[in-house]
Amino acid sequence: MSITQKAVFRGAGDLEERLRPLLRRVRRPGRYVGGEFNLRLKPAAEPLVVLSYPDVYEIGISNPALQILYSHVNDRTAAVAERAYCPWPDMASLMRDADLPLWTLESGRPVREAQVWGFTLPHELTFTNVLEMLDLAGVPIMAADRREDDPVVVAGGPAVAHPLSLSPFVDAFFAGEVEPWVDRLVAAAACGRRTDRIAALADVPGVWVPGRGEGPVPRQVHTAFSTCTPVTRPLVPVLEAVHDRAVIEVMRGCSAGCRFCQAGMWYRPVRELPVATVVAAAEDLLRETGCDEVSLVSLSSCDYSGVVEAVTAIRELRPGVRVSLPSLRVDSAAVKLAALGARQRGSVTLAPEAATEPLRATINKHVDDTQLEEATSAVFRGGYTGLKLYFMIGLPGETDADATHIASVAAATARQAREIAGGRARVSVSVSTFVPKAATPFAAEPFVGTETVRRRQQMVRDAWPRGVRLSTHDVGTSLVEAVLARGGVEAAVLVREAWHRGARFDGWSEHFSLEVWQAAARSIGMDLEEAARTEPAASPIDPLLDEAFLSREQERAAAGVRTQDCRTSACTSCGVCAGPIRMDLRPTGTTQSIGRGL
Amino acid sequence: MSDPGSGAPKSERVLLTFARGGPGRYLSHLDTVRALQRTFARAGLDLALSAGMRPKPRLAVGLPLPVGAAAVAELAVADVVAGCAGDDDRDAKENGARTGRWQASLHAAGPPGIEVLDVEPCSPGVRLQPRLAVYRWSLGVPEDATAAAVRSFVGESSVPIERNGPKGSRVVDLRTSIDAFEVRGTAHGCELWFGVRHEAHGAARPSEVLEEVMRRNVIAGSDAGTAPDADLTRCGVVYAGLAARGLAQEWLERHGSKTQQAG
Repeated sequence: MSITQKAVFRGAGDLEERLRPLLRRVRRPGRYVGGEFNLRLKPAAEPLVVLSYPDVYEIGISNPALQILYSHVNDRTAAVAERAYCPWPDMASLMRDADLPLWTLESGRPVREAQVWGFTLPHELTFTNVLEMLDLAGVPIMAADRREDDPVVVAGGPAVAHPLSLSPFVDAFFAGEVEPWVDRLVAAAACGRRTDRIAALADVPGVWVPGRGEGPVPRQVHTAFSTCTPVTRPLVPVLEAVHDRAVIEVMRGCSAGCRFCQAGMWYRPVRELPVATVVAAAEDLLRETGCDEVSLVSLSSCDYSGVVEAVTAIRELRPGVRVSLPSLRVDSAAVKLAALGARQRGSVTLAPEAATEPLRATINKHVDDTQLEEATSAVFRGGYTGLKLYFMIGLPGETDADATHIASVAAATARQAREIAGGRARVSVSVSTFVPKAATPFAAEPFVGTETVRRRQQMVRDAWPRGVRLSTHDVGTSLVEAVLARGGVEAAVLVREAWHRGARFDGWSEHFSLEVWQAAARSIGMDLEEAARTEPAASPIDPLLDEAFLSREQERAAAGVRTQDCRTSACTSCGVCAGPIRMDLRPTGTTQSIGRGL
Repeated sequence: MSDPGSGAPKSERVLLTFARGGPGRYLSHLDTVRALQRTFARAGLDLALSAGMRPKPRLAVGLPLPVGAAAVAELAVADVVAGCAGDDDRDAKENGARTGRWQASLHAAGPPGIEVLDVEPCSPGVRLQPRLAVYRWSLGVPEDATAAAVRSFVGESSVPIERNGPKGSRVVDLRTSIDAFEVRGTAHGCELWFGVRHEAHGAARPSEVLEEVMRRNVIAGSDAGTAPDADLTRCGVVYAGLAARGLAQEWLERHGSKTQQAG
């Protein structure tokens, strides 16, 4: 194992020496030289697939989708996958001055030498970074301007649910879960000419090539998720990253049916790993990563059927290891936290999303005030010292009173926390802004508008209790996100214009400038507020959700009626389950599926 | 080493010698500590944990390295849980062979930018208290010019600089912190070697030394005070009560601990 690794120590000298004058002048130079545990080097392998997350290294290295692709391409195909992340503006400036094109962290090759350059797109505020990376690599930002020796630019991830605002810059989009089709995508990358590569990609299920094909492209589902082994030899950064732990995706999909949640709709149906697979993966992961914490991740880890069994087994196997569950649902948190015992530390995040029960019914959040109290009690009685609550402002049907009530909930929670844990108890609240997203029942809802959001944010601040930390999102970023999440090709023009005017790292408050976006919008005759309220452009991607289901959910939202979780109640006929696509639950740790295919 | 009666597993303290280069140059001190902790875990060597509410692995890296610096032979001390690697009592009596195996395991388990060079048993009381660090700046600056600048530097009785920190600013005298200088010509310019004494009142930083030397480099003209292609390596460190590591032993043989003029 180490022969390959240690070659980097020596071999990377070339790259590192070339970059050294630049590295000396930037913040956190370790972002640009790789050097992770489990780095893969395949210097003679072809084709070269570059994988990118369009944000800074510390964010991108923690992305599980890129880890899946990196492992699969390098370990199971003849191709080589290398990586590039978005250089921070200090480095980007030096690169342009030095005329140094974006390089890969593994071999230091220019990214533009790749046959395929894949981006995973988590949300719309990374779109300008895609253009920035293309430009830094010396690849024309417009797909139509690319030449034969340029890479084929492919994009995937949840933001592909509505890809139009990035479509002129990307050669092909992949919709859905890529695992079943990695080999086909790699085979397409191996085609000699760029046009042949694009043509071969267009034949892969789930791929949309702008300007080609008829009808919406169906999102792909990894139907074999429950029988596959998770990544057990991930890249482990030596630089501190946002998520510094071993990760096992124990479950994909969520059946709670929150009407605002794109991930909850996009990753349907629920599929679980058997407990035995999770425990074996934990053992391998801890050995390969050297981490002292393993995180069982999913959209809602407390809903994983085998969560208690898996946590208990991992703790028995490795008593010194911490097992964490990053995504807890309020309604099930109390029971599961109690079952996991009082051996916890740190903090827990819960997301009531709305402060009043009528509004929770509108968004289909299965939480009542009693459950929130029980969850708060379980958190602090279980040994945790911190609780963070997530709320949103700007939800459909929201009133000023709904927003103000967030402060009341915060005060009550903090009071309860102090009664249990005394002065050690910390409660913090994050209030973000609702942005309507494609492939959800709220997709066609208008963005509530910056004026309303700012007013309600101020109302919350005015009513805020002492001793509870409050953070709110910059409404400008939400406005831009809303425009890009529903816009057509005119939104792509906006992205390009904003990037030309300096928009980068729009998800970062220190870099985001609403003035830049407003100026860009004015220059193309667009009003951002109006664009965020208009009917969404038709997406070329089929999320597999039945139109009747979406309409029904809109009606039920308007009437304040909840829809039950299809895991525990009747099928909601969302349209996703069909043929091999079905719910796959593994409560007993066996490999037998008890899914309820329709 | 273990705490008698504490109930904690027995452990023994080892001295770890490692080099840092390539991508490892750009790690912070905390990143380096974390990378070594993970290297132990990947090698199947359990580190003993500290006591208290939040136990931490007992591994301490000596003198922090500046970000961007390579290193020839750094030291860390670690407390390894006895028997964690399947070593039996017979093996324990053959410390050399056993720590050799540990070195091989750690070398294989390390990240690309860190190489574990040696593992040796040491007494439980060993602490890493730096006394002298030897640095080398590789410069694209002519040897003569650098030597003249060094002569100017050492000719002064004090070279005070103001250092700003979170607790305000303070003045540090670089001159008294420097043990000795050497300037060696290379194909691309020269190497500036110097020893920095570590005493209770603090020590000069290599970047500060370079800046003050280059400020006196009148031949460099417009580049005075800067050396854009400079490349730093820490060649060795002397710790109290321990044998000098890396090239620090040779340095001591040449310079002792007295300040000498060079160039």
